[in-house]
Amino acid sequence: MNKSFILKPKLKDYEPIIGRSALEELKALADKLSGKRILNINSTYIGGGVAEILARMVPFMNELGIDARWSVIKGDNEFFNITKKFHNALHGKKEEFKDNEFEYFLEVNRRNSQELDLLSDIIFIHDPQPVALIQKRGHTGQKWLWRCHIDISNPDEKIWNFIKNYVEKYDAAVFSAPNFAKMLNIRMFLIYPSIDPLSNKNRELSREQINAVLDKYGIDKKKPIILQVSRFDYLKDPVGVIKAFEMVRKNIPCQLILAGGTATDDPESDKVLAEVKEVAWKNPDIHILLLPPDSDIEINALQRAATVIIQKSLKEGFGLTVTEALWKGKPVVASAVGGILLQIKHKITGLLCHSVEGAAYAIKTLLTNPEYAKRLGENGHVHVRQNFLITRHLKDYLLLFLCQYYKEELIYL
Amino acid sequence: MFEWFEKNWFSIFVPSIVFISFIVSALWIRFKLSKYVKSKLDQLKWPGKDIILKNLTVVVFYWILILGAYTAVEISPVKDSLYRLFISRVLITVFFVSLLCVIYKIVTEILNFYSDKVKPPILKAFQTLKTALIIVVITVGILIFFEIWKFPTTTFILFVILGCTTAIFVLRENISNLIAGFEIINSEIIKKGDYIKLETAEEGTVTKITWTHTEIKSFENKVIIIPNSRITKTKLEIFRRPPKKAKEPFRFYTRLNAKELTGLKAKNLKELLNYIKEVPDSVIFYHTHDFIEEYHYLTPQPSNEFAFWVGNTLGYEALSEKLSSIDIYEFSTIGEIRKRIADILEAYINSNQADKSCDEGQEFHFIKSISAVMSTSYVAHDLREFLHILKFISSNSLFFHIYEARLRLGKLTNDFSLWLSESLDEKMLAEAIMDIDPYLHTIEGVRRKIISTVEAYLESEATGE
Repeated sequence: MNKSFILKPKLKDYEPIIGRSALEELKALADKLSGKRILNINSTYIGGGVAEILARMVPFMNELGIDARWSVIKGDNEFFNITKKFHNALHGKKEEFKDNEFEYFLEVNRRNSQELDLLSDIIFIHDPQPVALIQKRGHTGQKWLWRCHIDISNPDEKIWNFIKNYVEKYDAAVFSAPNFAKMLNIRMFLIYPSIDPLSNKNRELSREQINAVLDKYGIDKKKPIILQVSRFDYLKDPVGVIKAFEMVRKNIPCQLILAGGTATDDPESDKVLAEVKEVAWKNPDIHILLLPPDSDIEINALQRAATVIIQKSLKEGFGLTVTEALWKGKPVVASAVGGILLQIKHKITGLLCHSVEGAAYAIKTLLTNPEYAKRLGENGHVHVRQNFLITRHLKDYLLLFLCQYYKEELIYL
Repeated sequence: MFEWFEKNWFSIFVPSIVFISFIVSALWIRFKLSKYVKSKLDQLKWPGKDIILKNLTVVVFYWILILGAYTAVEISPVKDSLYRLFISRVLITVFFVSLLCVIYKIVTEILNFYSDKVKPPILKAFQTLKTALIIVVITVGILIFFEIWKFPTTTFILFVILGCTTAIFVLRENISNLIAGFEIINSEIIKKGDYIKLETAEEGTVTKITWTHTEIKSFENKVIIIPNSRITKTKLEIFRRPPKKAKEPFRFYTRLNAKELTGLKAKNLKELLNYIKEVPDSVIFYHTHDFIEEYHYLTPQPSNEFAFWVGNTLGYEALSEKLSSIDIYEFSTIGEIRKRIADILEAYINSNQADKSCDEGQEFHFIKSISAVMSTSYVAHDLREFLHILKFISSNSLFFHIYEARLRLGKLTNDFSLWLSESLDEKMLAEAIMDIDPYLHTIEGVRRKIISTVEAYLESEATGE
C-alpha cells in the first residue's frame, strides 16, 4: 500500500492542497457556530454518495469544534422499497403507488421521530427518505434544513406534491445545481457536490500503481488512451463514444477504454453492455472493462493514464466523473448537459460537444495539440481545487447553517 | 582468407563474446537500477528528478556500448598492437568526454530551473557558478585527456595552480566583497532606505546594494560607492527610518459567499430583461462577479454571466459582446450596472424582435449572493505591515476589500485606497491603487499589481527618487 494514503484524513492534511488561509477561514466560520448542535440524518451509514460525504463531513465539523452528529433512520425492506420507488419517481420514472405505501412511509418516519433525539439546534435532513421527520419539529428556535442530493427538475408530479408538503415545512432546502431545483416557498440554497482529493478515487498514484492496473487489463501503454468512466446506461451514450472514437482512429492511432459497472437496480444495464460489446466486437483497440463497485483505485489509475477523458452523456446529473477527471489535470471532452456546464467552460477548462462528430473533432484537437490539451487540463485542475473539493463543500455547509440566523444579504459575523 | 580466420579466430571470438556478455549484463543492470532509481526519485518529489532522468535515459545505452567495446578491446589476446591501443584510448576518451558533458548539462539545467525562482541578486551568483562550472569541466576534461593519452600532466597542473593563485591574488578584493555582499543581502544587515554611518566617516542613505558594493547618497546628493567588505569589517551605525504609523490600523476582513436560489429562471431575452429589472441588487452583483470569483485564477473573463448565457445558450453573439464589454469599473452602484444591462437588452429586443427560447434545462437561473463578512486576525499598522499581509491574505479577503467594498458597501473606492488616503495620508499611493482596474485582471493579478505598486512606492520613498 502506498504510504501517502491517509485512512481518515484530518483537515490539516488538506493544507498543501487548499492553502493555509482557506483553513483559517473554515476555523473562523466554525467559531461563529460555537454552541450550536447540528444533527445530520439520512437513511444509511454505509454505501452511496450521501453516506460517503457525511462520513467525512461530520468528523471535519467535530475537528473544527462544532457539536455535529449523524444519525440514520431505521426502516424495513418494505420501507426502503417504497423510498426506492420515490427516488425513481422523483427522477421522472413512472412508478405505481398504492395508498397504503404513503401511509407506511409516514408511519416509519413517525416511529423514527419518536426514537431519534431531535433536540439539536439545526436538524439537517438528507434526501427524501427521512423528509417527514419534520412533523416532529421541536422548539421554535430550531432550524430544519432539507438537503436534496438528487435531480428533481422533472419529477412524477404526484410524488413531488406529496414530498413538497413536507419540504415546505422546513426553513430551507439545498440543491446541487440550479436546474435540479423546484420552485418552493421556502429559502433555497445552492451547494455544489464535491470530491475528496485524498480518497482512493482521487489521491496521487505512483507510476508503478498505474502501470499495474494497465497491465492487469492489457492496455497498451504506448498508444494514446481515450477513456469514458460511467455505468453502462443509454444516457451515457457508450455507443456514441465508440462512433466518435472510430472517427478519431481513422487519422490518429489510439485506443478507447469504456470502464464502469452495471447498476443492479437497472435491468437495461445488461442490455446496454451487450449492445456495446457487439458494436466494439473484433476491435482490439476498444477495451470494455466491467468493474466491480470497489474499483476506486483502478478507476483512479485509468483516469491518470488517460490521454483524453470523455463524458458524452445525453443526460447528466452533476457529473462527478468529470470533476474527478479535471482534478487529475486531464483534458476533458464532455456533452453540454446538466452539471457538466457548471464545471466545463468551453475552451477554458475543457471542450464541450453536442454530437458524435463534435466529440470526435474535440478529441482529435486535443490529441494533436498536446500543449493546448495540457493547458486545459491544468485549468481544469485549478478550477476543481477552487470550487469542487470537499473543503469547499464543508465551508458551504457552515455558511448555510449561519445563514439560517440572518435574513440580510450582507451578514457581519 | 579462411587461413587467416583459422589463425586469428580466438582473437576475434573472445572479444566478441566479452562484448556481447558485457552488453547483456549491463543492460540488465541498467533495467533493474533505473527502476529502483526512478521509484526512489518518485518518492522524493523533487522537480529536478525529471532533468536527471531525461538526460540519462538515452545516453546510458551509448555508454554501455562504448564500455562494452572498450572492455572487449582491452581483453583481446592481440598483443602490443598500436591499433588496439589507439582504439581503446579513443573509446575511453569518448566515454569520459560524454560523461563530463552530461554532468555539465544536468547541473546547468538544474541551476536554470532554480534560477527562474530566485531574485535578481542571487541570479548573478547562479551565473557565476555556471561559468565556474564550465572552467572546472574543461580543466578536468583536459586532465583526463592527458592521462589517457599519457601526455605529461605536471606542466598543465602547475599551469592551473599558477593560474588559480594569480586569479585569487588579483581578485582577492572582489572575492572578499562577494562574500561580504552575500552576507549583507542574505542576512539583510542593511536595507535600501537605511541611513548608515561608517567608522570611516562616510554616511548617507542606502540606494543600491549589489554583490560587490553598496551605494549611498549623502546629504549633498553625492553618490558614494562602498565595497561590501568594508561594510562588514568596519563599525557601522544604522539608522533605520521607522515607518509612518497609521492613524487607524487596517484590519483585514474576509468574506465568504453563500449562493441562494431565487427560483426565478429565464428562457428568453424578454424574461431575462424583466427579471433583471426586478431582482435584488445581490442577484445582479452575483451574476456580474461570480465569473471573476470562480475563474479568477485562470483568466480575466467576461464581465458578467448574462453575456455568457446570451451568447452561448441563446446564440446572440453581437448582443453578448455588447453585454460583456460593459465596464463595471465605470459604475459606482449596482443600480447603475443593472440599468446599463437592462438598457442594452431593451434596445436589442426593440430593434431585433428577438424571441428565441433556450432548450429546457438550459434556462438562466437567478442566484442571490449572500456574503458573510468576518474579521481576520491580520492588522496592518503601517505600510510595511500592510505589504507583508497583502502577500498572503486569502483571495476572499482581497475580493471583499476590492470588489465588494466599492459596489455593495457603497464606498467610492476600494478599502485599501481609502485607508492609505485617510489613515496614512499616502494620497499618491492611494490614487495609484485606485487606478488599477480590478476587472481587467484576475484577483491574483490585482494582488501582484498592488504589491508591486506599494513596493515601488516604498523604494522611491526610501531612496528619495
